[in-house]
Amino acid sequence: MMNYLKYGVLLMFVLSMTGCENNKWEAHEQKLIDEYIKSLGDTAYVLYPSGLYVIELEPGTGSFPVDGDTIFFKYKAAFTDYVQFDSNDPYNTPYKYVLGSLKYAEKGVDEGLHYIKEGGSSRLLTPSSLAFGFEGIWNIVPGYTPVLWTIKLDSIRSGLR
Amino acid sequence: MRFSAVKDHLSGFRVGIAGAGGLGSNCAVALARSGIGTIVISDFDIVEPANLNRQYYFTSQVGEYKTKALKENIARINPDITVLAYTEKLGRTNIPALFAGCDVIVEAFDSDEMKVMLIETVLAEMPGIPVIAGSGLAGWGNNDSIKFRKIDDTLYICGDETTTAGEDLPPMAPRVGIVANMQANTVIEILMKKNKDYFLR
Repeated sequence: MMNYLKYGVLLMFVLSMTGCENNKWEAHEQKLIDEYIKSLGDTAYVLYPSGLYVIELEPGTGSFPVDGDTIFFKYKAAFTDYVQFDSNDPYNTPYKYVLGSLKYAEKGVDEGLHYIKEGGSSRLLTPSSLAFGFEGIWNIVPGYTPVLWTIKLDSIRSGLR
Repeated sequence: MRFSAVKDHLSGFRVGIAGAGGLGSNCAVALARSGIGTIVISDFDIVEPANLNRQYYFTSQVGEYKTKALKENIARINPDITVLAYTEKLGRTNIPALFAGCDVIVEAFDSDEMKVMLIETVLAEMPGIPVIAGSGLAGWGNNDSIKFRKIDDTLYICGDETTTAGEDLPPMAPRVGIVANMQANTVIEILMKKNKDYFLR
C-alpha cells in the first residue's frame, strides 16, 4: 500500500514537472506571436477563434475555395523572424492540395486557405497547435514554434465537376 | 489449368505501371487479383474528388498520393503482392531505372505526349520489353468501338484509338475500366506464354 502511495506521489511530481516545462514553452511561443503581431504596427490582421492570424496581402478576384476543391497555391514557410525554411520553389510548380483533406497540409494552412480568394494572397501566422505541434518536425522546425506562411492562391478546380 | 496454377506462374513476374489514374489504378487492381508477384507503380499526383468517378480510390483517400492509396488498396485485396510505389514524375531519364526488371510495362498516362514519351523511352532503353498502351476511352456506350491491336511483339494498343477526353466527353468508369482490364488481360496473356526465369528471381 505504501509503495503505491510512494509511486503515486512520484508520478504526480513528474507530471507536475512536465506541466511546468510545457507552460514554459507555451509562454515562449506566445511571446514570439505577440512580438510578431506588435511588429506589424498598423497593418490590419484578423484573428480567428482557432488562434490563426491572417494578414491579407492581395484581395484576389475569384471566389473562396470550399472543402473538396482542388487548389493550386504557391507558398513560403518561415519563422517569425522571416527566416524561410520551406517553399514550393524547389518543385518549380504550384502546390496541389484538396481543401479539407488535411493530407500533406497543416491544419492552420488548410483553415487559412478558406479565407483566400482565387488570385489573392495572404500571410498566415499559425501557432504550433495548428502547424507542427509540440514535437516540431525533424530538425527543421522545433516544437512550440509559430510559423509564418505567405500563400498565393493561384487557381481553384471545383471538386463538384 | 486451375487458377492456383495460373496464380503461381504469375507470382514470378514483375509488371510496371506508368500512371495511377483511371487506367493505372484499375489495371493494377486487376493484376493484383490475378496474383502478379511484383507491381511497380509510378505517379506524382494526389487523389481528387473528381477522380472517384473512375479511379480505384475511396473518399477517405482524397488528398493522398495515388501511389500510397493504391498500395494500401492492393494490400487489402492481396497482401502477398509486392508493390513498389514511386511518387515521381516519369521522364526519359528515370523510366529505365524505376522499371528495371519489369517483364511488361503498362502505359496508363492521360496525356498524349507522355504516352509517346514512354513508348519511345522503353523502345530505346529497354528493348524487348512489351508496352501495353491505352488509347481512346472517353465517354460512354459504343462497346463495339473498343478494340485490341498488336503492333508487334513489343507494342499493344487497347481502346477505341479515336476519342479524347474533354468537357463534353468525360472519361467514365465503365469504358475506362474496360480498357484498363483489357490492358491487364493482355499482360496476363503475354506472361502466361513466358517461362519463369528462376535464376533471376
